[in-house]
Amino acid sequence: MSELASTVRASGASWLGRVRSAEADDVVPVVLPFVLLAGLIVWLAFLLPTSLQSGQLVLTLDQSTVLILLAAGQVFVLLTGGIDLSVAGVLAVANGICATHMHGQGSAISIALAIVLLGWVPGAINGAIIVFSGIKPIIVTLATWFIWSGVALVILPVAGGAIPLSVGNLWTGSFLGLANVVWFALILAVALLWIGRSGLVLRLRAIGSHPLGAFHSGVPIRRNVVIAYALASWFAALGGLVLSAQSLSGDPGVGNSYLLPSIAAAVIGGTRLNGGVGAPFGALVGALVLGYVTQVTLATGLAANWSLVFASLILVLGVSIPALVHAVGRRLAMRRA
Amino acid sequence: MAGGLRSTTAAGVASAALVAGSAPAEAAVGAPEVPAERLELTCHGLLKRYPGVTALDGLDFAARGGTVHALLGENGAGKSTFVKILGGVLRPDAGRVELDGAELPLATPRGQRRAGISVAYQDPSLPPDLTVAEAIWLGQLAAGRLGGVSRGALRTRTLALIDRLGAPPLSPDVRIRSLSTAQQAIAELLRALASDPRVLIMDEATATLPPSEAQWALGLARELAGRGRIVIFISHRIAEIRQVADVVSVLRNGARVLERQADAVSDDEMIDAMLGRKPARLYPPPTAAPREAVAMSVRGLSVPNRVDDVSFDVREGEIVGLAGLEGHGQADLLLALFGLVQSRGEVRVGGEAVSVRSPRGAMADGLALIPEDRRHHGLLLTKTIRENVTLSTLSQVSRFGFVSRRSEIAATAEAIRDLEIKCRGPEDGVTSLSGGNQQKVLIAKLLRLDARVLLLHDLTRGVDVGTKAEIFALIRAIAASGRGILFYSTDAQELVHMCDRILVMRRGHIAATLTGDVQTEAGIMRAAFGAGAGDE
Repeated sequence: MSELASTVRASGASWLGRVRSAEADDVVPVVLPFVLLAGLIVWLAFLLPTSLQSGQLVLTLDQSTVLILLAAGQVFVLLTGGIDLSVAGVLAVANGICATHMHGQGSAISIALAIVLLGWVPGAINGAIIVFSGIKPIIVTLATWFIWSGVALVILPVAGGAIPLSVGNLWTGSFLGLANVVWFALILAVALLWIGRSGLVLRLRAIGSHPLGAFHSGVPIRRNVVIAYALASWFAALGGLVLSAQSLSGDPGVGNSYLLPSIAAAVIGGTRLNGGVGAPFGALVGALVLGYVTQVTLATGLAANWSLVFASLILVLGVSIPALVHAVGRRLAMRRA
Repeated sequence: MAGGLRSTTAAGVASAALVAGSAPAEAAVGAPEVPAERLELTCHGLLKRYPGVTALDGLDFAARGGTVHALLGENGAGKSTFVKILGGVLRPDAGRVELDGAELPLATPRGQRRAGISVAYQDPSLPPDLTVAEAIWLGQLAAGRLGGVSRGALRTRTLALIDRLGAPPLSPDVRIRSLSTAQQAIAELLRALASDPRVLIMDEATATLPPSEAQWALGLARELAGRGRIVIFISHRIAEIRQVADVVSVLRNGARVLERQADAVSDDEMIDAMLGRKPARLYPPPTAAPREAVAMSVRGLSVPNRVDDVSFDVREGEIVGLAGLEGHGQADLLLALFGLVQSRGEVRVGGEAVSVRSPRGAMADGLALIPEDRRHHGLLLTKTIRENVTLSTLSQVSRFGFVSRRSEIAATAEAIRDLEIKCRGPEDGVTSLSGGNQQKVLIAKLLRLDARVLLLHDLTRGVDVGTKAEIFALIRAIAASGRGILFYSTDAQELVHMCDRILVMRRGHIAATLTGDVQTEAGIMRAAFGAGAGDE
């Protein structure tokens, strides 16, 4: 029993206690994505010194933005221990609406506004079904993924459509000497950092970590889960808007190529698939890591399709390193005990 | 045992506890302010039924401000259900609860907390991935708005709370998952107290605390009562109840069977009220005496923080009971013996040292376990009786590496006949069976292993009375065949009637070995509570 008492004391608020509290388990998943990203950027710089030019950096950011948005939205859902497959469908629907209904300045603005204002609705439906039916998120969102993919095909049966150039110019333009893409990324980064520290994300983490415990602590479970899915869908709709501005056309099948990368980016960014751990900002880093993997692959002269292989290796690495550190740490702790 | 514990006046001990603990920073402790209007919590006719079980049977209960009200009862007496209703986790089927004359919503934990009721739960209910600071304030951060949470502010608030309550030091930045059980219990208490509740329910909040921390918690209960609040104190330690409680209530079968001033009730009265009188016709008499040969001997077995240096023998044909309050190491001992939990120490089966590292190894060494949760750890629920019975012994029904369906069916039919499993045939799905018959399927599976020692974990939980009697007869027969049986049950009566000897565990030790005349329910209770021996 004295052993128990001494552990209680040992973890006191002393300086030593605080250092010990910053355990490898907590630090590794947070730091790892940044290390990966830095490593890839340096590697690419060796292979291709021009990659550090501002134009190239902006281009990489541009190519990663849609994935960043999807992955960030996915994080909210993953935190609760769920998953949202329907974001692929929502992205395609938003893209299809833009491609078919943006004819001029006026309609472009009203469509964009509508997407921003209503983008959360499909997710709220997902969340409500999950919360009230008790059906597993993967099944519910699989169903709604198909539904929204079907809707996307009805809106725009084949790839095409024409989005006014002025919308594209808005995306490629610049403001105060900084590319709009960069402004968007900066605002997004700040927003993700802020929301990562919000009470909302704390509650989502609590729900994913121990739903009953969160409930006992007074967290309204249903409301917060619905909000998580609503956010995932809102970010996907926003991604559809950005994608439209980038491509100036629509493609009903576009969402599917973003779905698994959105989950991969979230996981590489330190979000745990079974919930409870993670941060939306990490998804931004994770998405950039995936973007740079493609670039490094191309720079080494390999075919672009190899980037898939490397991306999956990174994913496995991203998941196994924290687990490995955890296992080693526990082994050491056992030996000490 | 009689008169082993004097009834001390609660207030005297409480002040001693406060002096012994670190002095709280705020003056709240000083002179107890007795509010003019006394707070009162009243419960009327609380009813809660589950299929087949009535957990609360029209419970009436009242507690007054300024008192610590102890609540006692056996496992299954309805305490947990009552606590969950007060905490807003469960809704009663009927009845109402009033605090200060106003009816409480009883809808959500959040609503209850707003009304001033807070519960420190027995099972750690803090999300393991949050830090201590996050977990404590989780429920109190604005719900509707997004609201940024400053980590620094949470830290400061947590440190201030720890300081104000004179709590044992706890770093606000540590994840809940890396805390010890005792530290988690402290964090849980801090969480319950963070909202400064008018009614605090301590649901075995001291069960996992070492003595000095338990003293702190008791002092806290007295301090709150001193400020006119209500504390409902649930504990299995009679000494603690003697120390803090002003009033004692005993629950049995979902109703209150005793309410008395703490200094006007003896230990034996409390224990008698908890046990009541039960029929004892279920149990078949022993058919053969245990043999001399030792089936399993355990020496110095330890599981960190759970089981502490436990040694005992199980002879062939002997049924050794394992008793104690939940969470005192009995379950861990069984898991350790079966290789499911890492342990140190020596285990011999039939005289040969065995290494208990994995269930597979344990089975090869002649040990078999019936797990606590048969639905999750014992049976393959989507499979048939046949598949479950032969799962661990497929080689016996196989030829050249292929499973022979015919020998499987023959083996299963034999088991169904021998164990009187009520079913249509070997191909019935196990989910179609009653709990008792499911348990028989598990026993059939284990018997095929030809184990020398059977480890049984709460064999009859959720089993109807008729099947219980059959299972007990089966256990007798297995013992008579010369196998050793280690029988852990949370039902003390079962142990008393079925076992040749009972080991009572308390805080990871074997606190007492009961045989013959002292092998009684009251004996188990006394040893498990640590009554008479004083609380270490």
